Amino acid sequence: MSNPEYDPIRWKAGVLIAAFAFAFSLVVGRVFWVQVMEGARYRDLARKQYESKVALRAERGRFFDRHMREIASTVSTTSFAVDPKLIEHPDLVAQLLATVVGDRADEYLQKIRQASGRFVWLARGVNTVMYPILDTITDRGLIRVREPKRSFSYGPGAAQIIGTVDTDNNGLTGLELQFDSLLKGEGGFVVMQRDGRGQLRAGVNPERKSARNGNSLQLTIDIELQRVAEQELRRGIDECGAASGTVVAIEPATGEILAMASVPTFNPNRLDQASPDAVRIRAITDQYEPGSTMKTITAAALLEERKIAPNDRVDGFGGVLQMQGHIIRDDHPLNATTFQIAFEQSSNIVFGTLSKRIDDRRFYKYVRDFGFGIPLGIDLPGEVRGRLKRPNEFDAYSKFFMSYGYELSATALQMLNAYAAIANNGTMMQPHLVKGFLAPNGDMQEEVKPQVIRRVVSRETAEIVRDMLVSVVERGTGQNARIAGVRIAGKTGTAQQVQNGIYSKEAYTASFVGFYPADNPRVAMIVMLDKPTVSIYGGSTAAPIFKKIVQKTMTMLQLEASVQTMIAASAAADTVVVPDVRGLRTPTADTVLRRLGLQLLDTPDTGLIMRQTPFPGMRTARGTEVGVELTAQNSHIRPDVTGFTLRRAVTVLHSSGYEVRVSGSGRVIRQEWTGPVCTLVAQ
Amino acid sequence: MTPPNEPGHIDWLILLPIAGLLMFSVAFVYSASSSFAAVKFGSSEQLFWNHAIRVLLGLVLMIAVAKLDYHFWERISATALLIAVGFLVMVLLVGAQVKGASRWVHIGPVNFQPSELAKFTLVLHTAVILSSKKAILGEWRKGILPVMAWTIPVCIMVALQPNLSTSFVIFLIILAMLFLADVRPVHLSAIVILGMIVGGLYAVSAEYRLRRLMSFFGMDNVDESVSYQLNQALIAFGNGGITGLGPGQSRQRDWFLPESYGDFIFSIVGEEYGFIGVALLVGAFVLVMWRGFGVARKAPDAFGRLLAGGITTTLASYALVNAGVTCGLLPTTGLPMPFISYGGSSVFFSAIAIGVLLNISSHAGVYRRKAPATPINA
Repeated sequence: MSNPEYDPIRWKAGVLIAAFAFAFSLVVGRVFWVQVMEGARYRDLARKQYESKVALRAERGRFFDRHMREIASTVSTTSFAVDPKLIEHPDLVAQLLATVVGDRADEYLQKIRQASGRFVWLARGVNTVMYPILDTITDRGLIRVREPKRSFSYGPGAAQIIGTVDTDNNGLTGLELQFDSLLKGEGGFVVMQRDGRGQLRAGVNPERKSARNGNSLQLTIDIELQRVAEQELRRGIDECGAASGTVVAIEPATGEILAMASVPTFNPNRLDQASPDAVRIRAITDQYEPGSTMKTITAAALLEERKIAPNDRVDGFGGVLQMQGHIIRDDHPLNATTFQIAFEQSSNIVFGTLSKRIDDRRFYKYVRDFGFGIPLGIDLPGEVRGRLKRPNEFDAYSKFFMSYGYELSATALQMLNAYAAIANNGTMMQPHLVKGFLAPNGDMQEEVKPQVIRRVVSRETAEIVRDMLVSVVERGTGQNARIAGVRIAGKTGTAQQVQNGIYSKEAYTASFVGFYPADNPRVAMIVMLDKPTVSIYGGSTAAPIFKKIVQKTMTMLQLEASVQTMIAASAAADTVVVPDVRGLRTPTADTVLRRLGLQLLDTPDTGLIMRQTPFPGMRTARGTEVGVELTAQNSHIRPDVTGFTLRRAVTVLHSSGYEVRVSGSGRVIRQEWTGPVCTLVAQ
Repeated sequence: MTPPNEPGHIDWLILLPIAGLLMFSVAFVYSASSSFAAVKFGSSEQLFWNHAIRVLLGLVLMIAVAKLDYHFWERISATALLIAVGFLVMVLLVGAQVKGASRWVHIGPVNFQPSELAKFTLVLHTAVILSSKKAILGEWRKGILPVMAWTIPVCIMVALQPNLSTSFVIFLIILAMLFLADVRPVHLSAIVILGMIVGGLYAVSAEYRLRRLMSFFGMDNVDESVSYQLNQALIAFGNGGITGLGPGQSRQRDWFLPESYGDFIFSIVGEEYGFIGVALLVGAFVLVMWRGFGVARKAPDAFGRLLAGGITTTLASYALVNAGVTCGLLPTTGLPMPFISYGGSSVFFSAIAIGVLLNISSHAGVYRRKAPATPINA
């Protein structure tokens, strides 16, 4: 301080320079560490937070019936979004969407304008198949997201066997579950760029992996037969007051399942609303004590073992047989008769008695060979095996009861397949639902060949049993299934159900199982009803359903012309002439049609009937559904009734709310209007 | 005693790096703020234009101040500091009214941070006091106490805003000036210890500050928002690598890194221009720092020497603290990087300070070293 020329700031500034330089070099070192040494790690972190994998869904495979008619497909719905920054023609986009979806264009425009981010949904799940114009818009800012959805060309037909899929494309029930991995294909992805708010945009040359679509299935199902089976089964269940029912049809020579109907059914697009009862495939998940349909198996065993022949004498004991503790009664009492007739009349006493001629092990072998007590291995999930006692579990009466269908239980499919084996000359085929696997482009990849399970009885035995079954339909308990011109082989079954451990007097299983044409069986079919109430007998409840399905589907079988004519004639007995319901209101039309055994398709009562199909005057089968088209709601059209009978004209005008004055009689030749009053001139 | 000097001589080694920083900051801010501005204001260029205009005004201001003889500041320093203190009081009162942190004063259309004004005027006035009391600096009461009488209230008021980091840096700057002014080491140590005690108490007096500190030193669960910001800053650096992604190519600005155009802009520089860019940026500051202390050594009078030292310390410590925070060497605080970060007050007061430094430099004869005998332009 004594030397004014010397200021220690000269060296102290140097100290600060050194300190700062050191500190800055620390910073630079640290940044070097982060950027260069650790750079790769941070770049990895960066990429992870910038990139977002967007899944690309694979299109689920489709279902075709045996004639390659598409039953279930995946429609590609499209969801539309926009990037408000990039959109070039917001007005055009809004206008087009408004036209197709039905919302207002200005609402879309508002959504686009008020958007805060780079992604705004406009409309979701639009079916663009109907509106291809939506696919033609090219606008940089328009984002399309494909979202597939199952579509059923035949409504709920075959709902249970096709099954359901969840929103994540996983099969939940039926074939969708059984062949899930094949059907679902393999999803892909595209890498999108993301900002800190999670908003996505497409990058340059994004990394992507295309989705591989799923395989399709060709089913053995004939969708027309399936639909007829479902329709007739539903009607039959309604008529006989049953709780539920199932119909299965199979081609005996191949084991291909032609139809498999379960009622009640459900809408496969709304699994959430379906009761578990409606989703079950009853033919494989429900087991029953079959009752008299089992006698065919017993008969086949006895015949094969040469313990009896059709014309051998047997004793029916007058319809009542006492055993220690048991009284057995037949519904159709027989005395001394032939085995053939005992079969036609379904005598429990005769079969129980005859069963003693075959030893337990042999009997068990036949029943087992016919497929009872073992799962058939059908290509559907949820099959049960049924219940069959082993010979060492038999008591003194087991074989007696089993010979006519008690003390064992089976699924409808097991019983049907046993009959199919008879129809197929004693050879049992593997029943299956999938006929072929198709590549995503529709090419056949692998066909499923028919597989023999085993020979159950000899050809001779099968032919004898077949003839016996034909006479059941022609002369015996199965007459309700008889159709003039077709030889149908079949057997009825009426079985008491076990409830709370005892055989119920109210709950029955009624069934009819058979095949046709008997000489060259093309279809074997079973109809099984659970707890019919109006009548309990298979002959009066299940057989008529069988008959109606045969009548309605005969033409599908490509039989000889003469047979077709015969069938057509037999069907004609069940036909009616369609009445004219045009000009009527729907409730009135419904009453008219009902009286004739026709049905009006569900139609709201919002106007007058304008058109109808089938046309008036046509001959159609009873039970046919009549579709109608209505006039516009609340329209003030004045019905033209010229040419109508007076009575009909008055009805038509009244039902439209007009007042009527009449002059003359006969048919209307002229009508004159004065306000709401119509004057009819008739001659 | 001032050596004759050609008037208006410009120290290019200070002006060029600073002008360069300002020019580049326009590009930095444009890129770093575009995503934010696009959403917030509807135009990605909104903050860019704000900043460009301020940079231009800052440059003009800097040249103008450089033309002004630095002894002018000697005359107005007390008044200016009083005005600054007035603004600080005002901010505290307003802040108390709205029950929240307030660092801004609004006068008509102009908003500015009084802490920036206070920092600048405090440095000015400290230089004035220390140079005028050069002979009695050895005395505690007469020499040092007057300086502390200004410094402590200013620091407390800034800290109460609350803006602890600014307060802390201001205190450090004054300490550096005391050191340069040849205060007795005993006194200096006493002030340092005192400052550490007060600062330490203050730091732990609010939970968020304590947690922030503890999480920095790894003693507490990591504060999510703070660690998120730092982590994103590090990702920005790492993503840039050696050469960077290129101008305007930042991804972290896309809503990943908060304050990407403000206190954390340094990491965006790292992302777009890589380690090379970072090194050049730091190099520019080091060059100005070295040159500034050079001016402090050679200024013709004690006031000039201390003022140049104070200004250089201010600039260097702000740059250092900001850079240290951004790369995770220091606990996260809210200090801008001078000349680089978006923000008017910071740009204007930094520009004025450099203008003053340039003027001192023009009197310091830095350029006459090679030809000491004759003035270059005489």
